[in-house]
Amino acid sequence: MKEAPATGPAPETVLSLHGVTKHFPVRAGGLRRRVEAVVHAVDDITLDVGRGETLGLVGETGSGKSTLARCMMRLVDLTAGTLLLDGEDISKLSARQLRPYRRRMQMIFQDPYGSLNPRRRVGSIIGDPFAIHDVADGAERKRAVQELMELVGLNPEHYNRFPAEFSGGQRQRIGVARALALRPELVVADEPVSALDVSIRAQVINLLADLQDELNLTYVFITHDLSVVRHVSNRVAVMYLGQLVEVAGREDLYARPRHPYTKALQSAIPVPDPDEADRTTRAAILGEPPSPIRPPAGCRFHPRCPKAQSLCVAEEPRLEVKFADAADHVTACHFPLADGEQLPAAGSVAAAAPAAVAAGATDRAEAAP
Amino acid sequence: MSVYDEMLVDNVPEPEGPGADFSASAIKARSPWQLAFERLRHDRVAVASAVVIVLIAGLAVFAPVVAAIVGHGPDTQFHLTGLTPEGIPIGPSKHFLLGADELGRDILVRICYGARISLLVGVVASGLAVTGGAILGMLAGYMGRLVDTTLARLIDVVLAMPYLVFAIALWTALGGQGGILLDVSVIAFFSFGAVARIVRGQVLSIKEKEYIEAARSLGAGTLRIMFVDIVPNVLAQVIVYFTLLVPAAIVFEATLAFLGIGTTPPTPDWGSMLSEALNYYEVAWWYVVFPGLALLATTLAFNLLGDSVRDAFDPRYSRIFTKEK
Repeated sequence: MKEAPATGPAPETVLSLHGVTKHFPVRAGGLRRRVEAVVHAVDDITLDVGRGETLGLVGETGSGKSTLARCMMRLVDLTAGTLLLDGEDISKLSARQLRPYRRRMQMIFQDPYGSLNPRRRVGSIIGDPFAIHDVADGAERKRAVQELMELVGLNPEHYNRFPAEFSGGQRQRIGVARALALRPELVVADEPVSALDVSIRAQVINLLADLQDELNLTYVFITHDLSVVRHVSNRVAVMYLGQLVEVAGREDLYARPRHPYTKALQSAIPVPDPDEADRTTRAAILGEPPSPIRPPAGCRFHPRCPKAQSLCVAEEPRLEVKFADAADHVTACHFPLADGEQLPAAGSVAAAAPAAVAAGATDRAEAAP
Repeated sequence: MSVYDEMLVDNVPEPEGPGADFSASAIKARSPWQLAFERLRHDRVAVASAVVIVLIAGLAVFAPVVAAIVGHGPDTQFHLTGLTPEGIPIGPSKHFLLGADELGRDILVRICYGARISLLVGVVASGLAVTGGAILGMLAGYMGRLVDTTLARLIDVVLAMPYLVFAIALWTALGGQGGILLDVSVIAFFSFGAVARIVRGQVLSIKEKEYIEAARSLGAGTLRIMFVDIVPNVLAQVIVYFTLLVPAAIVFEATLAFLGIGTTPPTPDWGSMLSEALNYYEVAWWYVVFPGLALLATTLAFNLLGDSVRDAFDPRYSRIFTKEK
């Protein structure tokens, strides 16, 4: 490394998001291409990522996790909001202006097959960051690349091979090596293990954890798999339809989920013991997330929420500390779950919840016979 | 306790680590290009076609040598030895291996010189069309929006033009000037559109690949992404299209010459030879058969080679008649 990042008093926050919003216009028509509608992929997200931590970002498919990751990496332009990397505003920089910042934040991609160019040799792929940022040349670059390969557990002699000659897990290691080449501070990992065999996942997760200790990395770890997040994260943020519904320390979130959606996600984790699985009841939420083109008014989760009441339709809940929770445990819900409270069983939800909301009943219990 | 926690506690041995793998010398990494070349080398049709193409190219290059050996210049008229006393061209014989034409010129020598024009026009025009088409297709596919729409309409217009009428009109407007240059420009102009479309489609699909996003997240600029990440992925297609475009361009050139466009009379050209021969085929079959065979052999060889090259780059689409190896 020729130039080290400016060393001052180490700020606690690496990446800071304020009201980050990303809308995608849906265009229709022939020549004029009018904007017909807007997909609210990410809406008004405020979140801090602390140095050295692993922030897990969970949510269903289509909840905007990957778009948020691309916003954090500035791979897309933000519709609104600001993004601070080490206190510097990078939300409005052009691609060219962003280049020096790219060294400090890197991304690990989901698909180990799609994220490596099949026509290029692995050594050249991992050497890309050095070439793009003019860091090392020739023999020096080759040596750096081989060190990286060794660091992520690949045989450095396979420098000249093509991606097709590696397994999925090995390919993901190549992606990790490429992301870590310039020693970034922040690594955004977008579902880095979801495309891998279950037996390989543990290896890659272990590798990421080891590298975090070794290189003092900060991770944003995106996944739809709560059990993975539980293993790797210090803090977890739960997303639903482009918004954060709950953010909490890992233990806190698992012990005292406040948002009904968090609770439902948690009960969906498979239990590896069949006897135990029979005993636990699953508070399944029904249906699929509504279209992000026309998100529901008020709380976006209300059409599927077993605890929904008319207030939930009328007013959008804000992320706040509920009950006697720790200051970093915030929930966006009008009627958070108390300690140990269970969600009503799935069957009753289907009949009662939408009816209750539609009738404008103030309490779900009144609507029930 | 989740599934992963247990697995991590067990600490699965890592079969992927260094040392567990084959030694690097046991398996040599071969690039997709090397693999394609290997397949091509074992394809008998491809090898035979390549041999034919090399032979014809050799005749073209060494046409003066051939002329010197048989002792007949390409434009020299042998009224005494090449024509019967009645003025009819003589057939294949000791002095005229492939016979003579109506002016007593040696058809073999003229075919050799004609190959120069055919190959030159075919390769240069195809090269221009492929280069131009590939660049425009890349721009259209990568830039999108206005650039894409403009280029797409332009290509539509070009492909909608009646090319023969256009060539004849241009030839007339130029007053019969232009020669080979006219051939090359007309052929390239009417061929680049198809290449541009193919490349544009490829680029559109490659652009959405995660490795392009990875390059952007590393800070790579547009030019670097285009040349380092996209070009190697469209090159194979472009090469295949080039080998298939060459025979089409050769036939196109012959067609133009047949109609009297481009090359002018004393110049030996397969198309104009065939056009002249039509007046004499009843008395001199060799006059139409040998130039025709030369044209057929050349285009057939290029077409077969093009098919083989495509199969070599993408073995999934091998031809129907696959031979047992």
